Amino acid sequence: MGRQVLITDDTAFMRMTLKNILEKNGYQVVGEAEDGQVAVDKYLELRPDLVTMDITMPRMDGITAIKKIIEADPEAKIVVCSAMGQKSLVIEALSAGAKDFIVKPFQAERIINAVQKVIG
Amino acid sequence: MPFRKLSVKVKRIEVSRVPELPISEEFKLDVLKEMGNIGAGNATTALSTLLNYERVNMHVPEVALCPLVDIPDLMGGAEKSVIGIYIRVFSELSFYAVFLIDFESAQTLVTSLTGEDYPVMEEMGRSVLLEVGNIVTASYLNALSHLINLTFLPEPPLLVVDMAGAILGTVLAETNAAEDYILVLKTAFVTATGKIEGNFLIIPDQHTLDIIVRMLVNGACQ
Repeated sequence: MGRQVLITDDTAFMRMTLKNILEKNGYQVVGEAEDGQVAVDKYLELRPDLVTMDITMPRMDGITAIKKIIEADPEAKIVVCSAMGQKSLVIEALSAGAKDFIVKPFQAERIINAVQKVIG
Repeated sequence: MPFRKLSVKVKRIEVSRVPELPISEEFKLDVLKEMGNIGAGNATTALSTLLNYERVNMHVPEVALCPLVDIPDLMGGAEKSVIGIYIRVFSELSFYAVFLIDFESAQTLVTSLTGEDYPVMEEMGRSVLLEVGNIVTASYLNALSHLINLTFLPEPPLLVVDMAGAILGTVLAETNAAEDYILVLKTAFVTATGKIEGNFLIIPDQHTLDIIVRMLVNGACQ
């Protein structure tokens, strides 16, 4: 059984893209979340090895979700995957506890390299 | 549907401290155009990367200032239905970014990105268009942010289908548009499945344009 991943993005297309990339490389996608609040709830329920996190989402943004997940589990492994590559947001996300920050659009190798680096 | 604001706290320049300068209206229009040049490369490169650039011919983006009344003509006339993906950007500076695309180009985009013929108005098709609008806008903002050292926080994108004139009317009713002109970035790609043409519009409010003019002028004088 591959390492377990929870995907967070507000668009179904991006969730599908990330799921395809991860599953082709042996990871098991155990859940999908369409906003930050769902990501927090699913993290607590599923306890995946890694979470991919978008930033701009309705209801709860990704930065807030990172803070809530890290607060509940300081060992949580989160990789941000967002189109918002502005320096201050990258710093904010990494300070909140994210392990890496991938700017969309991305190549599949960038995702796999980041995930491998964090959970092997 | 109202969206909750991003609660991110970011360090920003205090825009109120940027000195006032006597600047002509003509110069402001030049700056508005420069706002387009700054981000056009980033925005179109992002789109071509999404489309897997080895297989795509990208036309050099054309940046233009268009009178408001001419915008519907860019999309084939005021009464033609088009798809609009619009994003409100708020911070100290606020503006709208609107990506207008006709149905044929939208279908080509969806098919090119997914490898499947998902109908553009069903969930997966809409989702592709929303993500494209999001990435193109964010790429533009990343470039602008780097240049003037401000952070821009966009809301999640909204997708509407309406006549081009009606989409613009909705946006303009919500904003204090800076001028009677809108900044247009025309993009065109040729993919294996067809041609994609879209118009990316930047609509700053009066306050935003004033601040950006002052910041660019001050930066240039240092």
